[in-house]
Amino acid sequence: MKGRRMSMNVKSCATFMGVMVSFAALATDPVPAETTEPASALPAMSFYGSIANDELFELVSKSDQFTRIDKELYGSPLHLRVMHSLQPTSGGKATGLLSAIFSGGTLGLLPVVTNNSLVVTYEVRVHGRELVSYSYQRSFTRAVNIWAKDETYGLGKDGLEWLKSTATEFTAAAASDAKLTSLKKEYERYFGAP
Amino acid sequence: MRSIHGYRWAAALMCLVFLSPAFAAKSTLPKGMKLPKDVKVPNDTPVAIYLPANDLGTRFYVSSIGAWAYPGKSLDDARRDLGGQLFPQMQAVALAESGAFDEGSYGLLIAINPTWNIVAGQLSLTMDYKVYDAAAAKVLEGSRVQSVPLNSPGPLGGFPNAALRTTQLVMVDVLAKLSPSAAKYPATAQMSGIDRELLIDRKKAASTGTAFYINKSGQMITAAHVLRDCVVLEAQKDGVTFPLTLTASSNLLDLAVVASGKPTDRALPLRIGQTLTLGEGVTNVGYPLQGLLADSPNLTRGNVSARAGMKGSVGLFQFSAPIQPGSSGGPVVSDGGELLGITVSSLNAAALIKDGLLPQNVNFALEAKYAAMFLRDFHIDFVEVQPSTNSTMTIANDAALGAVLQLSCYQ
Repeated sequence: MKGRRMSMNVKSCATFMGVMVSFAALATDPVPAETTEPASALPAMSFYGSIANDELFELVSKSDQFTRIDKELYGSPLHLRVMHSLQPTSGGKATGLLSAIFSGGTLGLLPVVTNNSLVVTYEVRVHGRELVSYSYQRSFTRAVNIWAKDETYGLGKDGLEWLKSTATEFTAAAASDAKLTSLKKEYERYFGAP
Repeated sequence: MRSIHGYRWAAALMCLVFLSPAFAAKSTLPKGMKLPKDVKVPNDTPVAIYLPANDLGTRFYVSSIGAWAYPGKSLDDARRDLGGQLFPQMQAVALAESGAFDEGSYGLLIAINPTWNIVAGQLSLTMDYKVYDAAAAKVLEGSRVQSVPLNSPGPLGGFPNAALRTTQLVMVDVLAKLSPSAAKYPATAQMSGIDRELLIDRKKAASTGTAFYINKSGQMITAAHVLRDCVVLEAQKDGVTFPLTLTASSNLLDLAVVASGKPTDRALPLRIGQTLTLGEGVTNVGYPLQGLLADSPNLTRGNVSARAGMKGSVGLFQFSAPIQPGSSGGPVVSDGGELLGITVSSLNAAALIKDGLLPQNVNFALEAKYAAMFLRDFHIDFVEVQPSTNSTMTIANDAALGAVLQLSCYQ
């Protein structure tokens, strides 16, 4: 039997329950206008990003197809995974080592220069099996002050902007993906429209 | 000026030499290894290379460095890049969703069985390989090992490094020991007709599970994930082993139908309307923990404990009869002997224990009504009966035990 990797976070469960209580308290308020989802919306699926999880989630969920992604759908058969690998390029290793020595020698006054190759892959999986996969790659050089706080996941401002742009590229490509269209059709056949 | 132009021409010529396929292929040979003079590199032999799908799909997260390791991708990249450089006619032997091999022909078939091992920061990759000609005769067999630092070059860089090096050694063995060429090994064998026994590792099943008869013609239902990427699929019942063929499959439902071609009178019926009562008693039968437990069916009892599964799940109900790895695809049967669902998964207790939670008997099955829809969609026969008024544990147990079979999937 296949053991699914599932985990339950007590804190997030409590938050969820809190939200449910809040909704109950608001039950006497006027009923809000019914939200209409785009016809192209794919079924609900869980989302996980190995890098910039919140930023990518927000960007992807804005697309018509992925309006129903959720980080806590532990039992969903459908999963959108954003995986990344960040490897120094062959030139970047030598540069990085040398500049790290200079940086250390100047107590961090000089920045460390790195050159990395970032590969980002968006995968839609059905019960763990890959259905579609889109990969994007870019090499970039950045200078890092070893004392500065990094809020760019080690990518630098340009790298992070590029990473965010891949979300738009992916959702554009997914919009015309025949396998995803077929998945939506099969899902609606068995479980009804989203 | 003339001399400078001369240097430019010389440099351009050098570039052409270095960038030529022949130079690139020769330069990929391991240090100290030489090929016989009559062996041409790149080699025109039409080669097909097989790697087990489970190995190609391997990846895992290394929390200590916050990065993913892709051993499977490393193997595939090495096969494609290095294999393709030395043998430009190289094709990968790959299974389509239907269970058939992709189209193509070959003269030499290389079946590789890789094993990774990590000890004290050193990563080693062993590739056991067998080489067959177009007539399926074994012409070479061997094993190659390469050990490299796990994190060089770069974090987890040992995986692509070891995959490239070991693949290189296997390819050099084939070139040096067989002196192959397109004339010596012409592409007369079709990939679609490969004898699957040549590829698989019979010593250990890639996955195991349970199936049960759904109609008199001997068609069976199981969970789709049990059959994933099987090169050879077999069923065992009452000491008899027989091959199965895939009839229909849905990853979304995690459901599949396989055919045995053996008529039976022990098919499980479905309730008309496929109703389900919360709390009703159920029997689950499966063949869990193959290799650890004896090859006899494992019967457990419980009840329908919830009409839904985990948050976000669809089509599942929860039941309490204990299950183990290998129970997947087994039937959840009512006390009237009717099929209520198909065992598909369980809560991951190991993951929950880390959060201080200890789940007990939280198991999930696909509701029979989805199986009925699926069977109708694929025009597969099944029997529907009125909900039984005569319900006992004995009836449930007999119906379930009579219908189940053990499945073994080999790659």
